[in-house]
Amino acid sequence: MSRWEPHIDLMRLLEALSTELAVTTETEVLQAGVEARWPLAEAAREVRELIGALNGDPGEAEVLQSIDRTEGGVERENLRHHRSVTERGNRTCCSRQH
Amino acid sequence: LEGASAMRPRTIKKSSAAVRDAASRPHIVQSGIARMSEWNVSPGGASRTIAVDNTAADVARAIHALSDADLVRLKALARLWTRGLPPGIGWADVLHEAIARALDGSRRWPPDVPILAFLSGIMRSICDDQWRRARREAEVLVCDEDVANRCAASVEMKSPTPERVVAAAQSLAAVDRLFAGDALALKIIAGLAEGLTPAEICQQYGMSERQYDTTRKRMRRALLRCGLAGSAS
Repeated sequence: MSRWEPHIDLMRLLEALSTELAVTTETEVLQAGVEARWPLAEAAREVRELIGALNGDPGEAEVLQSIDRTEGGVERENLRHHRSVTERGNRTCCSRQH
Repeated sequence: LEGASAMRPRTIKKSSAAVRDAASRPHIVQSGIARMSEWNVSPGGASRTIAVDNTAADVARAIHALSDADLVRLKALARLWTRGLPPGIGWADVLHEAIARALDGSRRWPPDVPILAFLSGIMRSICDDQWRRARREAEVLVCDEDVANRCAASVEMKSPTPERVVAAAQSLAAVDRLFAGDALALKIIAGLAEGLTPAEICQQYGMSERQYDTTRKRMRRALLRCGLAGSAS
């Protein structure tokens, strides 16, 4: 009998389920929203805000502008400036976690 | 978090003109699917085409173009991968870090990989990075400097920490609870965790192809509901 390695099982499972999630259709997303009685727009806004926070402002437009303006090292420099390193609970305290 | 992948595909930086050109074709990223970027070079006068990775600019545009439904999928993916992380790290943390890695170019977006799959792959590697880091921190606490260096070098070779094993077992139980009451889903979960293919799962559990597909759809919606409403189980 082989030894149970739950961390390997878990990663295999998450890999498979993430593939399923990534290919869900728009209809399935809408249906899930109805079933969960949770507005899709609210969940989407939450993620948009998180993306916006990466840029240090409410919108992503500036990220696009900075990339269009620049190239190579300058581009990376701008983005590095905005990059934050994830520490345990780094964003947990300021974002709603479910 | 520690640096990303050790092996990165070779990339060729596109000119700003090419970036502007890409911007004038927003429909390419609106689909959420990465396109095959091409770069024409003329070595010795002969023109040939080389496929290159998408740039950080492409990533930014693709993320900017994500629809509400895509963002919901992204949140659900982040919540899913959080189950593979050490306790105390939330979905927003892992998603934040994944997007940061994608935007700053520390992870390259290969051609023909959908943006959501790309970000999901980054989240997966963040899981591994976090556990490696947790192990290193635990070992450094009990080692002197020389020993710590040897520990760090051998981290990859070691079996998982008891904390990771316990956390993984708890996460597996939580996924089971998510599908409690759906016997077929639980069978598929067990099969996927064992690394079985759909055909093998059907064979092992006496499931028809149609039952498998119908159950998969139920499972997808359950995962999306979980991502939306954010139930803890």
